[in-house]
Amino acid sequence: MEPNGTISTNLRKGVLEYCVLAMIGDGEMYGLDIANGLHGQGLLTSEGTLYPLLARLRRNGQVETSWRESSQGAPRRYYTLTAAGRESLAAFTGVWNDFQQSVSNILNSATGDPR
Amino acid sequence: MMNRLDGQEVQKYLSALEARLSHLPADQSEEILFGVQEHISEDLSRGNRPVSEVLASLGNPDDVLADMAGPDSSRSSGDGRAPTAPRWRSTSPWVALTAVLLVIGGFLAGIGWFAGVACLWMGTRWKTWEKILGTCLFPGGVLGALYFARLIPWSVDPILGTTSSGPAEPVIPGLPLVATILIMCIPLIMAGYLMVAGLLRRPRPAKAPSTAPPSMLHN
Repeated sequence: MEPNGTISTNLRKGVLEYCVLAMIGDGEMYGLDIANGLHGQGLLTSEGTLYPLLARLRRNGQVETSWRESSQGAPRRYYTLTAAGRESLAAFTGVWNDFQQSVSNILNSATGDPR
Repeated sequence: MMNRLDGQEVQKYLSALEARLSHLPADQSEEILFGVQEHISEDLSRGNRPVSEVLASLGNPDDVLADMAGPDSSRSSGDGRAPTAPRWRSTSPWVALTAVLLVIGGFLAGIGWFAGVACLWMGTRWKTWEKILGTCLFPGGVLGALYFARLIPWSVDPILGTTSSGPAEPVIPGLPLVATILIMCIPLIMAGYLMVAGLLRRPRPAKAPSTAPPSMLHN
């Protein structure tokens, strides 16, 4: 039997980049806050893995970065979505809703749950 | 930011991560490393957790790279993602060839040094600033340095009082020879540095995923 940890790891890998896009949303976020938010939702076990992902999203043109002064000292690098990032997130959201519904229907029919 | 990163534990963690990132193009590894540095610095400045806990939450350096082997790695560059450099550009023979061409490539029909510069910029084991320095110090390698040394006015014309690089009296006896040797050492030192830095950044073999906290890496 496949361990629960492996299942959740595989699921996380598929959705993490879209969750990052969704967390940033219409605002702007700092790396540590994105990491804490994802970690709090159980979507990021090692917070360091966020940074290769953010670098990849930036190279792909889905997020962009800007520097802003911080009240606590050093300037911070903030992430915002680009138009391509918003499109990507919207496309995923559409697919995810159908996908989630299909998986739920199959799982419920297999377990006899009428929902 | 840097003063919060000076601790030995943090430095060890960042060095280990930098070594694991060495197979990536320099701009990518620098971006990732900078993000992690910023994360550590900001987390420590909030004062909620000790260093060991901050590093443990980041995962060990192998875990940080787990995303690089995730969904993205199976996709081709045709989907707009940055292509990965061919593996041969990060091999040790490539590093050695680059260093040799940068030093003596000028003697190889005059184009060997250009080949060395091309190897340097295509290579993945050097940072951008190292590539810039390697290109500038010295154009043409040893041959270029020799030519440059010949252009410098080492002597004073005894009649006109003007400087020249000709056979007139040197300003300081022996200076032209010593200075020429020193100038020729510049490309040798630069190539030596590039060779050592490149070889030390040899990619490490992939390890099995580990859940050990970073502090265990330092034992």
